[in-house]
Amino acid sequence: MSTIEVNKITPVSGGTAIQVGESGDTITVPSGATITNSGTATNFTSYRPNAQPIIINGNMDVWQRGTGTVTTTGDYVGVDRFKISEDTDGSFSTQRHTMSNAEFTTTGFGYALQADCTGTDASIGASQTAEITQKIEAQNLQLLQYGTSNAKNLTLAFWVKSSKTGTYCVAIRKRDSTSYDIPIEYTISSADTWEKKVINISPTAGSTSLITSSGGVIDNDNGDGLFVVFALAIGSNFHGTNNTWVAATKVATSNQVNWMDSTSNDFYLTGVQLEVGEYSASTLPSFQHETYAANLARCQRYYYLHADTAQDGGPTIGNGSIYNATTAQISVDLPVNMRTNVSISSVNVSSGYVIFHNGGTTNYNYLTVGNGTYTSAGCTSVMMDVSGATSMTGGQACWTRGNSTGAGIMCAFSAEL
Amino acid sequence: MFENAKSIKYNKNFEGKKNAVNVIFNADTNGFERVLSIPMDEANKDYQDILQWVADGNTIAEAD
Repeated sequence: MSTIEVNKITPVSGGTAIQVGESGDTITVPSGATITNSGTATNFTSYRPNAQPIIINGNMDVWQRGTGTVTTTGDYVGVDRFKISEDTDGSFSTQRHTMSNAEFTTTGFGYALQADCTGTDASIGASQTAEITQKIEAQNLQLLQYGTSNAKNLTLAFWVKSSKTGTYCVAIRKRDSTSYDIPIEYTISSADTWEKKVINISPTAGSTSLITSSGGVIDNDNGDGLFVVFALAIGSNFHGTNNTWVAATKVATSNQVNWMDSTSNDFYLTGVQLEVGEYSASTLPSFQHETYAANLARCQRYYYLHADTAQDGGPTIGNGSIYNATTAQISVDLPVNMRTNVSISSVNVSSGYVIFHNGGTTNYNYLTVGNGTYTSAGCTSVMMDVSGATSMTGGQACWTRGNSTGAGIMCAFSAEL
Repeated sequence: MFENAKSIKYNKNFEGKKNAVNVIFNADTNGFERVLSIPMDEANKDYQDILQWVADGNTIAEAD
């Protein structure tokens, strides 16, 4: 290697630009060297305005409700933050998929969401759908500046694999004010092969001005902001024009495959990231890997598994006080500020729970919402009541735990979008 | 949305005020009946679903 030692390189007389190398060349900055910027650096594409990923649990690491196979028609059932919806004449299940070494080598992710078609529907009805959705809280999306002329471009990227090749769709559904949808096609080219998709979402896609007008606003609150929808099978009522915003529910195009047509069909998804800005596969910023604890905490804003017999046969639920013969108020401090007043999940089992008080015990059947109100700022603690207790004595202190092995989730709190 | 519900009833707090809706679902494959106690807060998605269920012509049973 030859070496040139100079203190300054300037353009030739009359010029203002200097080019280093040619297209395709690699310019190497040696380890330990530093590039400093005392002017303006442009077109370095790693700038990211959001400190944390916009998509929560995009790496499919957190599964508070369980990692096993679950079939549902429309609910949050396994992986956190992704809602599974199906109302076709068929059925599909989801579960956690652990990546093989080869898959990990390719994608860089340890887990994926796996969907398996378990019951077929060869002809999807006009109003039927099968889809996977992440709903994003509105106040986390203010940086998009939707509803203004400065509305930002977005880039959705993800790893996907399916036994069924063809045209699939993702959709962005903007909630609040007027609801606007945009379906965008992508192609799964090779069966059973991980492929990374990078999809640009312009606020003016289809030469529209819906998002840049006032109706495109996303309210600065804790309600629905954007829905990111991964279509599996979509009826014709919800077919729109590719890459065009519309004021209607349109989550796919007519080219979307019918993934529900064979029980041999599977669909794997991981590494979901939504970036502010327009990126290509070569300029896309790296996936923001959080610690498991940070990822879990963000998921817990929407769902918090508090006590589970799968983890402990008699899980502690909380402390409290007995109000009268049938009522005890049990308080639980939540690990994070949850989105809204929470729903309480428990199990209706005769004597499935037990209260310890004044040297004795009283059994009860399930938990209900107790006294207490919360502000719109969110929910930081929960007051619960018990159902099915008798013959207690008011004024006593108490603590309670689950009393039913094998029941699974004994106490959980939900504030999902 | 509540097709698998066994009962949908109001819940009263110890002051006798309605403060939630308790949904008890039919037993799951393991034989356990899941319960969802839903606060009457319109920001809560489950309560939004209850309101839609009522708008569809259904009625919440009174508390025991």
